[in-house]
Amino acid sequence: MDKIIKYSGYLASWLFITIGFIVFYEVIMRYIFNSPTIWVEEISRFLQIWATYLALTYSFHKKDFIRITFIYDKLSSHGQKFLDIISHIFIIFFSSVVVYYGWIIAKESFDVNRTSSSMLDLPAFISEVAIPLCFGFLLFRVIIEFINTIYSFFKS
Amino acid sequence: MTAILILFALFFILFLGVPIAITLGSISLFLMLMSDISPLMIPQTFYSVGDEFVLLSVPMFLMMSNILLKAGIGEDLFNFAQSWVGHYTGGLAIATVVSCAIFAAVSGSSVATAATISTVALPAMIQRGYHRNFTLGILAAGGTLGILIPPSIPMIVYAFVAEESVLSMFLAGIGPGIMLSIFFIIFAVIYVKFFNKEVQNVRSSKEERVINTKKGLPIIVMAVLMLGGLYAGIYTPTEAGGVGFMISLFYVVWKKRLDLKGFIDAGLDTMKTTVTVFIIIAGAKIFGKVISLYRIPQDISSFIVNNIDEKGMFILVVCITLLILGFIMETLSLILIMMPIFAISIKAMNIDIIWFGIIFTIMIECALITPPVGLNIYVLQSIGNANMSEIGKGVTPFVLIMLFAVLVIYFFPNIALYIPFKL
Repeated sequence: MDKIIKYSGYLASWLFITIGFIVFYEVIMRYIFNSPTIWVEEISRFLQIWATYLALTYSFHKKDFIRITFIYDKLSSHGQKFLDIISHIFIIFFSSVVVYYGWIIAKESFDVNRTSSSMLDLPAFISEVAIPLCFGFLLFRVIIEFINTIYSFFKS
Repeated sequence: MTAILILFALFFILFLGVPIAITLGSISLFLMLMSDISPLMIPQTFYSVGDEFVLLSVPMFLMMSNILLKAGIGEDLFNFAQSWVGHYTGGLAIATVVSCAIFAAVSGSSVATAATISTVALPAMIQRGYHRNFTLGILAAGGTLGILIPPSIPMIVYAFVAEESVLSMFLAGIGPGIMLSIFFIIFAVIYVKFFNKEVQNVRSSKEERVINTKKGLPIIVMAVLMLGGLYAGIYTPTEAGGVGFMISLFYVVWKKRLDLKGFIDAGLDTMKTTVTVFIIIAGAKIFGKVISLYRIPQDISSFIVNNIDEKGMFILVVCITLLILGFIMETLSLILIMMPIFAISIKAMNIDIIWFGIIFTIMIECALITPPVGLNIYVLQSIGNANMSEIGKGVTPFVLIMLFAVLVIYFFPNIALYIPFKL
């Protein structure tokens, strides 16, 4: 599990780096070779969606989500665990909704074969499905963390 | 009444330590369920935030800052500035501010700026007899120039939520950025002259100047390329980010300043910041839409318009709110939580949204250095092994200078607006 998360993080960061290369390529093509590309903007947005949400679980795993720790830091480790449990409940509740409705959107696009309204005509499905899949991955990771925290909360 | 309840619930849940994005999203979700609005909007907003080409500038500029940070460019820059101004009274302090300002022009983040410059400037200043509190203060404050002098991540986010042009925000930041740097320098010189007389000034020889200028010059060229290209309209902010990322990468690889591990670390840092910021942007977007369906910003706006009839009063109230919240919250969350609430009031009061954005940015700079919560403070804690109270004492005069800068920009809006609109 840890390995999968680690590699998902590496993959996400390489996707961002790839975006950098193709955006640079676009500027070069436009100004030096005077032939702007049609695919760069769309592909980079597509990569950005995947990169961003792929990194979601990695950031949770590394406890990088931004939160206000003003009170949290003043508590004992027992109290912190209690607040962690509350956080987990919120994340589980919220991500489940995102997974469910995100899946509805992606499935509908798939069924009616909706495509991006641009020159490339990419199916909308392939980027929309990133939302439910990645939030599903997060949900899975948070549930594990939730169970672990509850276990150690009552043990101590 | 509903407004108060919702805001209370928001801050209550935030203080429990629930991640900000999740808090904003969950409250919105709850409000949607209460009034039968379909939550389909939630995944849609996450999708549309990821699908935004303008926001792509965030990871691009972060990548550039992180690469330059990992490559230790701060040293070149600091030595360059020091060799030219080191012999004046307070020379190293001036060099610190100058190198922060130059690095700010290639970096969009205040943390990267503070970290880059602090690693070299902190030991150098302490060794030459600068007071520790003062040194910590000037480094923390100098780092915040990173977000006032373009490029700037908080400005991109501000422009995105305020639906304004990123380019105008960037250009509006140049004047105030230079002004604030000058204020810092003036204060540093006065402080050293009267309270810190024992410092040593360093005069560099001509040869040293030539060597250091050769090393520092590429960074200045990069800064000019970025800002010049943006100003001339050669590339969009996102493309400027991509170009900056590539140029800095070529530079550090060519000079053999960065190995593969450093590069991967830079990528990972970028990715982590990007995702945490993007989900808060999405959360704030959802929250903004839902509360306006409940007419909360409209109610707050009419309350403000009825009770505060003057622009100045309104700005004062906003600044005080931001200053207080700044003690316990950090930058982007401040923009993203407060902007949906204030946006309509700003329009109702007929306030220029770019000008307001600059004032907002300076207030956020205060938030970055006011303890206990402030990202720049954490940077100095780890680099300088400093404790909170040392830094707190050190930054106090600089916070006052920033508030003074807000006042100056309030009375002379052209400091911000001249470059984007009148030049």
